[in-house]
Amino acid sequence: MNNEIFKKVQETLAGALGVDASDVTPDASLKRDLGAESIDFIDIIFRLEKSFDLKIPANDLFPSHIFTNERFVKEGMVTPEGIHELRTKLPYLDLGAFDKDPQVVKLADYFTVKMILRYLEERLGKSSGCSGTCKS
Amino acid sequence: MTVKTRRLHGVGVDLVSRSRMKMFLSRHRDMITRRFLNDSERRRRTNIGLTELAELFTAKEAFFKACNEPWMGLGGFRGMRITERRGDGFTMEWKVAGTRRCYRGEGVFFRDGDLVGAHTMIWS
Repeated sequence: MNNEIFKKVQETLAGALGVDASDVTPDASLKRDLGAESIDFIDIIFRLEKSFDLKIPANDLFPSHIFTNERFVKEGMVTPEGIHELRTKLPYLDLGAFDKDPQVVKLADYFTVKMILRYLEERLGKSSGCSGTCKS
Repeated sequence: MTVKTRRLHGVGVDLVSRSRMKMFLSRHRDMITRRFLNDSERRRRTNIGLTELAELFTAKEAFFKACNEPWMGLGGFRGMRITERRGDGFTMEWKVAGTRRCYRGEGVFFRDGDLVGAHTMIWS
């Protein structure tokens, strides 16, 4: 199992969030389990860019473009079209049961360590061995 | 005489510790300048200080909350600006990119030891 990516992500998140590396498990939610706040999300983006020597464009990892489109968000709820957009454009984001209560403010609960691993796997073309989507 | 009444659209509060911000700034000064600050903020500040960044960050974060918009990351932060500052009071504006939504509001900074905070209100 090649888990070099996972180890680097563990170190990066532990450093940004001030948590133990052992708490950074693939299923951990950045916000709910690891206590990430707004400043931390930005810190995480910048640290990942440095650790993996890549540029993470706005909207790539943590989506925000859908919030500015009234087709995708109406009265604080992500529309079915918005959910489709998320699934299509951000396949590494596991939305689970989000469509049952698609409050836009709850979307951040679905930002997990696994989401970052899947994103990096896609960008780097390598498997982290931990995201459940191994490419060999 | 007609008296115009204002209605409160939203209230937002945010708080950040200077020590957390110091770590963030020392690690990412260059990226913060290029990707967190907008053009006018960059023009005014060639070398942003800790307190200034903490205030700017909390003001923008508090404004997000008052607007009742979801967190829009770096793009959202760059879209907001403090239009006027008087002592600890300020006014803010956010034209949400790609939409017709525009918010204007006011706020106040506060401090308590290591903490820097901002409280914002938007009136309709």
